[in-house]
Amino acid sequence: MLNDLFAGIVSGCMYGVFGACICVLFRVSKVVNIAIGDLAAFATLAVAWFITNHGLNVWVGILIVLVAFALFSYAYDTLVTRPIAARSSKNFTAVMFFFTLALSLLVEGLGQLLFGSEVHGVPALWSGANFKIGSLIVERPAILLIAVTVVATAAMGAFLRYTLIGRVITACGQNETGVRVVGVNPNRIRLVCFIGSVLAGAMFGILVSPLLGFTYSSGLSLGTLGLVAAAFARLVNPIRAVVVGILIGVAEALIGGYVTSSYQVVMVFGVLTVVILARPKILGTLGSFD
Amino acid sequence: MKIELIDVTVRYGSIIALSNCDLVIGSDEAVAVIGPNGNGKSSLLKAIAGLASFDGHIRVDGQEPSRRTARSSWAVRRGVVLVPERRALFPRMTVRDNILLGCYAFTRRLSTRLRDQVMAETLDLFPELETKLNSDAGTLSGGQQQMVAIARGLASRPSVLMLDEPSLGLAEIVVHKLYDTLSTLRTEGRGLVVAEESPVNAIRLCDKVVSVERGTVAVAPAPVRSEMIP
Repeated sequence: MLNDLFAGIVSGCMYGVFGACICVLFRVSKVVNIAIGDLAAFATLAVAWFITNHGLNVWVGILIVLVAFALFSYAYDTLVTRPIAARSSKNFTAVMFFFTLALSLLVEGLGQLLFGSEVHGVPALWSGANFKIGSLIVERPAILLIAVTVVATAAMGAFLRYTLIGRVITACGQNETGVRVVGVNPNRIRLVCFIGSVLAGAMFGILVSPLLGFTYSSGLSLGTLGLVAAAFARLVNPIRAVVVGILIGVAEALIGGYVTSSYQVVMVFGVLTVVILARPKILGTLGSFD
Repeated sequence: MKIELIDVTVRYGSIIALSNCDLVIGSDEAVAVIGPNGNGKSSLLKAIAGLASFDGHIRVDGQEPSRRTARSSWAVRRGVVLVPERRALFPRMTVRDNILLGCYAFTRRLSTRLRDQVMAETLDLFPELETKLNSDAGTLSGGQQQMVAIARGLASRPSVLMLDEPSLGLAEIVVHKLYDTLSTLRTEGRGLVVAEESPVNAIRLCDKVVSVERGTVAVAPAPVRSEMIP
């Protein structure tokens, strides 16, 4: 039971962080980035490929991939998001959803082409013997992942709440004219948040990969569960997204441990559907703050 | 500080909102921009604030931004700040946060000292807001929202504060209060540009009147100004 619970928290951190990334980007730009999971899976496979095929040090591999992802995100925002924002302000969110879905499928296809269908993982950044606390076996990468999740979530919450730039990020999603008259360039803020969320997603993918392992197709289901966590946080509250993500992870692990492991994901979506049908108000109005 | 408009034309698709405008506005002036709705007043202010694209040149102290610089950010950093029509507040953020965001014009860090100073200046000008600081801006009345929008503009430390239709949708008593505040700002030597469809208050406040009709801008001579005030 304890081991299932712990495994659930670990995978839940992943969903939660993806959800938080989706929330931060939506908060600033009204873009729902469904590709976040696939980008993270691709980043992980790329780092693993550099290590296995070129014998690179893990940190060098991570650095190369993160720099490449930052450049890609910059190009994507400049060539895709910005022109769409300039043209279709009314349907921007819907249009961008389909564009990020297309990006998700493209990244998945590229992942299969470049890295094959096998399961890959990056070596643990904190390796060594597992810890044993009674019947609970705790792997070091899991502790690292949970610690980074807690610290990053707390730091993000404090940043959004207490800093001027954090307030600007919140304001950008509420009134574009309003931010421009105080000297904010909303395009730049959106760009920074897009790059930041993609890099954060990629880094968490790399952190979780020694535990879960990724294939080219792992990303979409991870991203979808992240989106569900974000939806429960009305797409604007990253802290709540992390908490909901962890709850989803725990529910998934308990279903896998005690009900059925074959239909684990289906059951999780089933439970979430029942929760939403029973308490529709739980989702509130997407995009609205508490 | 001096704002120069040279041969400025603002277009929205095929519609010309402002045509070949030449104008000079000093930071020691109070300028009333008057004219019927839809004749180009807002376009003029938006062009100056960098919110509307235009042909021609708008210079602040003889300088223009580089092509890569967002003109609206550049204008704010140069001390040209707009309080837009319908205020453009952040409805689900507190009044305090709305006002403090004005500081982004000159800093990225909010020290406690700066925060206290901005809030003290705001409450000095608008004591009515004291009980509303922690309320969401979207829950305020129109008059209170206008106060927040002006306070946010002033938090940006402008040399010239431009107000687009500040009395739009407000009760007469609120409008009088608002113009009393603008008059205080004027006494303190703040440069003002006030665009109004109903011009009486703006003309009384200002020492220069610019009329905008069918996209054409003209500075009204003094005798015409006096005729405009009943």
